Amino acid sequence: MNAAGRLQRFRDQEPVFYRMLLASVGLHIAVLLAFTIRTYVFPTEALNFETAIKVDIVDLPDKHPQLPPVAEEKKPADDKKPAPLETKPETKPKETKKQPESNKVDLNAKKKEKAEALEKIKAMQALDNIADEVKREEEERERQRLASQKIKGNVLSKGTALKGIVSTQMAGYVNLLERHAKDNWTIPKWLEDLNLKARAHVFLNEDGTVARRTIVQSSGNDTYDDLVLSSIDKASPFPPPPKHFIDLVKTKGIQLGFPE
Amino acid sequence: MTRLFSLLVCASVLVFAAASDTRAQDSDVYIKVGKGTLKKSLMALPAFQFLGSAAQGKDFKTVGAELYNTVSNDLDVSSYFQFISKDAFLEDPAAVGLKPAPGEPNGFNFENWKKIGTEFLVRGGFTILRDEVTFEGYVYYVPQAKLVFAKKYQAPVSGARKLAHTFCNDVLLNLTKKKGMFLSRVAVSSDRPTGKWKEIFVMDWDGANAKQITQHKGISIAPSWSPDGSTVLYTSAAFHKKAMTRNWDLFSYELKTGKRFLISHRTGLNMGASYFPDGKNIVVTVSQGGNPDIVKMTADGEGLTKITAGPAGAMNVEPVVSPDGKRIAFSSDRSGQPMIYVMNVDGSNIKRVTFAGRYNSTPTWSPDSQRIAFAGQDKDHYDIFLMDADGMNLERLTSAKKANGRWASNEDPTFSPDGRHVMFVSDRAGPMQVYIVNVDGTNERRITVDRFNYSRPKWSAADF
Repeated sequence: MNAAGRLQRFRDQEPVFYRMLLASVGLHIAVLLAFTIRTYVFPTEALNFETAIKVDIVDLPDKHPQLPPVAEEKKPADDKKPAPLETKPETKPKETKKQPESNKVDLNAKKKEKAEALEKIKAMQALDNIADEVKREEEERERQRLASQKIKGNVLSKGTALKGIVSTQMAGYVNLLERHAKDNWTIPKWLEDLNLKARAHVFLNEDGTVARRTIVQSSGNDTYDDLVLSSIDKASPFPPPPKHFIDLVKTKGIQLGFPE
Repeated sequence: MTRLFSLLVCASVLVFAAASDTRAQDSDVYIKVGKGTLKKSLMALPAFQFLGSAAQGKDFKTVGAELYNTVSNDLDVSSYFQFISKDAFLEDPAAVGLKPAPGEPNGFNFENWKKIGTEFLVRGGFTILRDEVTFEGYVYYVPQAKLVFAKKYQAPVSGARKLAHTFCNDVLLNLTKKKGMFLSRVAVSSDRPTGKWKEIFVMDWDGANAKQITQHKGISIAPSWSPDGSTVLYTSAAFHKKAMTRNWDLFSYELKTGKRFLISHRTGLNMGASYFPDGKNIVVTVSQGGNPDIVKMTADGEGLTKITAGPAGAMNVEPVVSPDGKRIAFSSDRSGQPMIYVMNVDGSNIKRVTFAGRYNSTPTWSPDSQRIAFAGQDKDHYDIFLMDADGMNLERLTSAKKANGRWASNEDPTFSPDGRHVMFVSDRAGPMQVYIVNVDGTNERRITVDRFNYSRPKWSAADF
């Protein structure tokens, strides 16, 4: 007996049950179709992965202890020593002492050596200075990090994280990417007040390195767009994607909003 | 029926599969990176070149130093830049021109500045002819080897500081699209130069060009600027000959004419005035023999309207109109301890906005009317605090100790016109001196350096 025959027999033997089963399947399909249609006709907003927090303020807050308390005092303008001033080099008549021919060659060679040595010292000094500047920049970054630390008056309680779908593996990876991108996003203070916004599309390799990146929504400011791209380059490699998301980050990529 | 059933199942499976696929297409991961870590830009500021001949410009070294020091101080205070040490320069700025090569014979080389990480290069040169100084300034963005802006300025030699401030304002305007605050002034009460009386002084924001504008030989305090910067209101304990007593009267002083006007001499306090943005009306604390309350009157003292009334026994003082003219912040002890309150300009909708601390006073609005700074007492001293106008996001701006290890008091905050700095007075170095701090609590600097005391500085929104 084929399946149709068996079904016919079942319908004859249990007509009520058969009707109920049919109705049940029909209703399930209707519900499924209804939800599918709803998703496209009335799309919901994207899920928010941010953690819920609550804040307790109990007293006047402290100033952040790590911030420099007082910058170096500036003397009043009247007391300021005049800065070194450049003037046009005066043209003095050149002294022309006659030297023996043999010494002339040596002197030139020595002068050249001296000049080269001076250049080297200057270059080394410059490198040292650059190292100092980098160090200062790192200190500034550290200061900024410390500035965001929790102190009395801005202490956050643990709060309650949203559960369920947001605690999926994808959400975890997105959080990792977000933190990594944030850590590498540095902008000059003078650009901050311009309130610029740019979006970049980033495609990652399996190991998290950046395969390609483009600006998909320019801020209208070349400097800002350049900084966005260089921050992505600096952030490479990103955290390697979990196995299930390799295709996603490789082919569809991720979009980063600077700042949103 | 069976066929229909199978069809339905197949259709739903197909629709669902298609739907899932399309959802996947839409599910690009989108991450908001946020505002990012802020950093200062590396700036090279070589000494300005004297472009004339030594014989032409007498005192050219002094003028050059004044120009350079003012520019250097302004740009440093802006907190946008970190100067590169002159030792790191790879080319001698004195030996090359103010413009880049190629294109300019003997021009400077961008590569030499790029190598040391320079982001901004400022080149300046000046000449002096008779009593006129001419300054030309160039600002270059080195990573893109481009000129940000260049401008020529001319001023009397005595106005070299103003010229330098103007140049720095232009630097900030070109970079941030917002005007700098370097041409602003401050009115302040001080016991200089004798230490005997308190008079009102007006000075540049950096403490230079201080000028005494009152001669009451008494106690003159709480100055306040008109929105256009032409007039200063202040309160003085003026002597009334007929009554043979002193009363806290409200005066105004016109900077241009040097004329003084008596605005309000009602019995008791006539204190802590603040202009409305239209410059025609003011709010003042008056007591008229009772508890101090806030009233509105015209700028010449007419048409008094009560804005606060009680509650019984409570004082309502230190009113400040928000720059948008919509609200008034004030301090009141109606809840027991003096706290900061905000209300509509007609006195309605009074809201307490500080709940922490014991004694909060001298509120002041940020230029965008979004934030309020005030002095709050913590244990045995005051500090400057900053919060949103609704009391949220409270943070401490100052915290300093005196030489003897005790906490210093930091009081009387006032915002800079660009809203990026707060000026206040502090006794950390002994006398109450004027300081500024960035609104993020960094870069505290001393502005006045003498042995006198200052109080209630008020930063003008208008340039001089």
